[in-house]
Amino acid sequence: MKKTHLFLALIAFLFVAISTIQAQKEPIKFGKISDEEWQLAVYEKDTAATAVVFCDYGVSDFIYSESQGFQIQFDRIQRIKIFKKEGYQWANGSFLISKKYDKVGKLKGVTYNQEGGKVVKTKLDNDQIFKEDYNKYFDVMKFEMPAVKEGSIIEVEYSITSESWDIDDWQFQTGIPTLHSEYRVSVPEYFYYKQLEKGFFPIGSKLANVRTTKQTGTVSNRTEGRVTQTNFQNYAFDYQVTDYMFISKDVPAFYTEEYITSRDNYISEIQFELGNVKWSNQPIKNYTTTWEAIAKLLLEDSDFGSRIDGGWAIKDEMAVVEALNTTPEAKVNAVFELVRGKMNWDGRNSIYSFDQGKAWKEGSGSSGDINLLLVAAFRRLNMEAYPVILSTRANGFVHPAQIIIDQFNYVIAAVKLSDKYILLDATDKNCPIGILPERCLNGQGRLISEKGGEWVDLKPLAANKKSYQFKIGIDAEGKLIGSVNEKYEGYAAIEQRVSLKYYTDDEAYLKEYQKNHSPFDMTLDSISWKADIPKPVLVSYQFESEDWIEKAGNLWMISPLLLGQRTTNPFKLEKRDYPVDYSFPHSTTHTVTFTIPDGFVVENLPETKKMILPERTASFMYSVQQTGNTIVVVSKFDINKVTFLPEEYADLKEFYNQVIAAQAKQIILKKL
Amino acid sequence: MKTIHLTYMLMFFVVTIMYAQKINYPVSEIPETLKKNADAVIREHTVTKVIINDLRVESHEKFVVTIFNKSAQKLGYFDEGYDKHSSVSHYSVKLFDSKGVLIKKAKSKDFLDVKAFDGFTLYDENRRIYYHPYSEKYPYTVELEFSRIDKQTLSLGGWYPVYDFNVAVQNAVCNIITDADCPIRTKELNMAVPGQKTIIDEKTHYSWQLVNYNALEEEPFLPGYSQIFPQVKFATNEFNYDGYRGSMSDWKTFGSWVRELNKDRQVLPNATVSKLQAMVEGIDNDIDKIELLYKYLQDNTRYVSIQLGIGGWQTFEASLVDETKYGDCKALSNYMRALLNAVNIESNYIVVRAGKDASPIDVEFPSQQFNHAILCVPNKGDTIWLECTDQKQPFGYLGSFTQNRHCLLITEEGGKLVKTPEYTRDSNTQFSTNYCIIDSAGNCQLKGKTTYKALQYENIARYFYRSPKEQKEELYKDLNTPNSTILNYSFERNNEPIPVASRQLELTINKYGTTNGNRLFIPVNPLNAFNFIPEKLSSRKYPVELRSNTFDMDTLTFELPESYSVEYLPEPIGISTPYGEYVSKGSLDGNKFTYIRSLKMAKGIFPPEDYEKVREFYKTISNADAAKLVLIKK
Repeated sequence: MKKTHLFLALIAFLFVAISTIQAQKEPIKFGKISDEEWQLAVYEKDTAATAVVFCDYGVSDFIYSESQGFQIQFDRIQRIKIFKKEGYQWANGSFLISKKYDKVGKLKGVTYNQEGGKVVKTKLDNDQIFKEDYNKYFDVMKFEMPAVKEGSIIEVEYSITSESWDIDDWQFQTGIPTLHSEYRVSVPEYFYYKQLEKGFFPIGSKLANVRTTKQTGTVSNRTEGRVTQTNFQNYAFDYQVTDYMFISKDVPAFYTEEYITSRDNYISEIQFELGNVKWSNQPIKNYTTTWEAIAKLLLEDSDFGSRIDGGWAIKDEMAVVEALNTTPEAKVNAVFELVRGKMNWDGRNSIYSFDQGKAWKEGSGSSGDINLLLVAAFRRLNMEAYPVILSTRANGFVHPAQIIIDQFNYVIAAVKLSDKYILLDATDKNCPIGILPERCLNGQGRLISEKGGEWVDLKPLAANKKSYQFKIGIDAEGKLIGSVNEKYEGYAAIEQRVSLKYYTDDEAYLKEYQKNHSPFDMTLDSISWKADIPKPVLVSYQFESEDWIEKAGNLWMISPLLLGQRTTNPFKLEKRDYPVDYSFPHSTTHTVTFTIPDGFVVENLPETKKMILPERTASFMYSVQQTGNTIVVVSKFDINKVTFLPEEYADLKEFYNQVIAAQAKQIILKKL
Repeated sequence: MKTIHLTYMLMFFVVTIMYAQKINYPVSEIPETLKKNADAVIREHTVTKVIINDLRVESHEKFVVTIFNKSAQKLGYFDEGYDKHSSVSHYSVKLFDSKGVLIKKAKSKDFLDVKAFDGFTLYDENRRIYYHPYSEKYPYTVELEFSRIDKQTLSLGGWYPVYDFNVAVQNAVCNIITDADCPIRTKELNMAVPGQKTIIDEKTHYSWQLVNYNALEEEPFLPGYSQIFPQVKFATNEFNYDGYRGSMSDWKTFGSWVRELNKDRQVLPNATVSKLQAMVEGIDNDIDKIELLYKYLQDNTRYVSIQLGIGGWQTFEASLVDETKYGDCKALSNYMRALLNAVNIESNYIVVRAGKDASPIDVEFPSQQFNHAILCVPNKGDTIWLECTDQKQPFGYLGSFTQNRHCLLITEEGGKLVKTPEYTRDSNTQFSTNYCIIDSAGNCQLKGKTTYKALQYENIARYFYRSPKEQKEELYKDLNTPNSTILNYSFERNNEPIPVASRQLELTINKYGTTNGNRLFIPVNPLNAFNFIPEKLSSRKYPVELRSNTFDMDTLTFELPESYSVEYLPEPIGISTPYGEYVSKGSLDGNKFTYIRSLKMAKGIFPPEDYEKVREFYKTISNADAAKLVLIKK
């Protein structure tokens, strides 16, 4: 396991077997509100909570009918108490239903209020329930509970029957505390589901047991041949059902924090994915079971496997590449530049390519269209290349222990050069070859090959590196005049190239830059290597400021880092529950050379400082040196590690505080 | 062998391309002057609207834009909204490269047709159809074309040929053709060339054109859009919306239409009426009754945006809100009106254009210019204004959302233009008193209270909507002092038309003062330092509009460490300009330093040449607020 995954409560599945789950008492009965629930006015464990979920109870069960076969019925009851007006939003509900497979069986809701010692019920009317078009595949059911006040208890119950064998995922955690969350799932022996537990707060208890059930009925069988026959058969069969029960109690509210990758990484949840189906006397039908099986499945998929072999869409171009390049390195470069140059990423994430030829012709497509084409191009040149599927940062982590293909939403290419894989993503015009866009830097990806595949690290192979050089003179009135050279490398160059795209000319860019850095006036010299990937981006300009030096009597005070001075700490909260994630290492260097004017002496200089966090995860070097009438200030601020765990938060916060304090110290000049 | 093959292939390519190419809108055809400061140039924009009758307006639009950089990308998006009363058809999108070669023509499956989701509207029938073409290779050109049918004449929209700053227009044309039965009124603003009006076959043809309009650059403190950009407004006199006919030839008749729509919708169930009457029994003062009922509204309802057909104009029945306890601005204002009715207090429904910096409505051009509803209680001359969508709003406070603007009061006689109250500078105050103990390491222990009034109440209003946990997090984010620890805090406020709120705060700021050799520097303004200097402009084109109308005063007492003596005290400053006044002075008494600072901002519109003076004023106060006290070791 990678270290970045350590904080996730990924516990191997251990079920406690009990005699019968079916016989277990249901945790909630619609309409039966207890006195304690009425009396609860504030939730002790989180007094800030504006509402609580008393109980959230869901059941997914397979039901059998002769006409439909097995279908899944999902029932859910939720009881919520609203404490404060700020919690009214929890009286608004919605859920998605599949246009093709799902039917809403019932949806009812009641708001209960206590008025003069009596409980007054207000029902959710049909005209307060709305079905809306959500997207191509789903509708959304929305409802607004009526008559909600502070102190109201609301109950909602609904059921969905689904013809698809997708068992609903269950989230144990939401934006308010949940006292009791329970999910029961019953699976007939014919079905096998992978289960994936996610989140920071572990599921409280997991129970499983097996029981036998009997099904009787009549079945008709049509045989086709020379003569079509229909046979009717009575049947009765026994099959086994596994009942699972998941319970979490006193689940804290999930409050979002800054610098976290995705809410989905942290929220407590159980997911199901169909692994295989096996009817008696029939061969097993695998959906997914092993990574090797997933690889096989994908390679047989016409929107995946067929897209990486052939590459007919680009055969002419590949012939040109083949003709013009001799070394494998040159070929890789040429292919990458060709595909990246021609293709515009349409912003969509996908591991599939539905129409590669059209995408190439139009020069636009999803991550699947572009990067599977890249793999195909390499293969056409007889190079060893594979697709690597991954989950983007916004989509949450991949859990290698859980073999579920839905975890992935993106694909890149891996090509072997001198026995090493180079990972390539041609969707981003600004990333140098071999450097992945930030969205891809998310733990591990799965390389898909005919041999079954392997895990590959999605590491940042560059840092976000910025350096600034100032040469500053000071005139007799205290005006700063000088020149500045800025250099952006690695991920900083990528960021810089992206922001330059927002301006038609370089002057417009600098003008906007200056707006964010008053009181400095800037005049552009040049911006170099804007399109020369992988070179750094260089920005140089002339610099003036009348207002930077503070004057106190005959003392002049200069904050030495100019626009590079850090004045705010990004970490303001006292503690943190989730890791801090920087995506890639950062390194920022400022070198400022001042020439002090005649008639002044240096009264005092800021202290030199050196600070290193344990294991060099972050460091800060600060020095101020005087030689004759010049003062040289150097500040080097490095974040060397990508993920800091919550227990490292206090150190990190203090690190920033000390950087701010050191940089705040001023050079003091005294008028003679 | 291979080389030959290659050449052949390349030739083949060239031939294919030459046959396929048809050049459209090459960037080389844009006059140089139009490219200056332009993120985009609108090459061609033709709008034709045909008003067939009061329930049918057919329009066709062609829009061609060249995009020069990513910031203008959205201008090339095709994105049209429609609803039950309108439809969009015959749409096409084409993308050309800078040479004018067609690189993409959208097919019908490229377009997405979805429900327009604004994030909070519970239910409406708004849908949108869109396709967002773009290229990573700048410049590129997009051609959009579509037809639409609008089955209402309440709002005909207007013509706004210049979309934004940094957008130039090569050629834009707007044509309107109206039937003799549907005459329209028009009004031009900032148009260099007036429109033309001709009558052909009993139909009136209007036409406006804008040619070679250079891109404008944005500057700080600009007056509103309508003062700067060319635009044409149009409206019918007689209109029809969902079968509800009305007239907007003047405000009175437009108000009558609103009144008719909402007539008899204030009926409450008898039980509620008796409950309300019982509630106010024994109260003989109308104001107290109104306040009590307003609290009842706030405690019992919540805001939900719901827009259905005429629902965009017609309120829910009060009886329905009484049952469901929610509604939008119309429904809740109407419900409040019903609550007051129940205890025999008269009130008037008002439609208004809301928004902190919303441009004022054009009072001389009666038409649909509103987006919000509030309630006005005449209360025998002592008028009370009620915002009904907010459960935490102080009683009678309108705030920056609807203050100081013309709005339409709906009466039995029809509409009447009135103005909502303005909060003056003397009431928009923020006063603070702080006591700071500084130790010899520069650490600061601060205890202070700040009182916010009227519009400045909104500086901290959000705290009253937060849970305690969120309040503390928000405070940490708000405080601009690094390395501080909040020891204690509290918020309080009254419930008056001119709200007064206060924040008590106790915190430590580590290393607040900076030690440097044997000196200690202490900034004099820890919590309310002004630090905005508007950018330098080589020349200012437009008048300068200052909108702040506030009065801040801060009093700070610093207890200085005994081990230091004062080397330098900030100089006293007193400046008075038409843009505002600033005074600061400090005095030393033993080891106590007292600093008083006041800042009054003036609102007004000033000529362009004043810009540099305004900048100078902001610069002076920013520098003055950064002043430090210099202590030296004894």
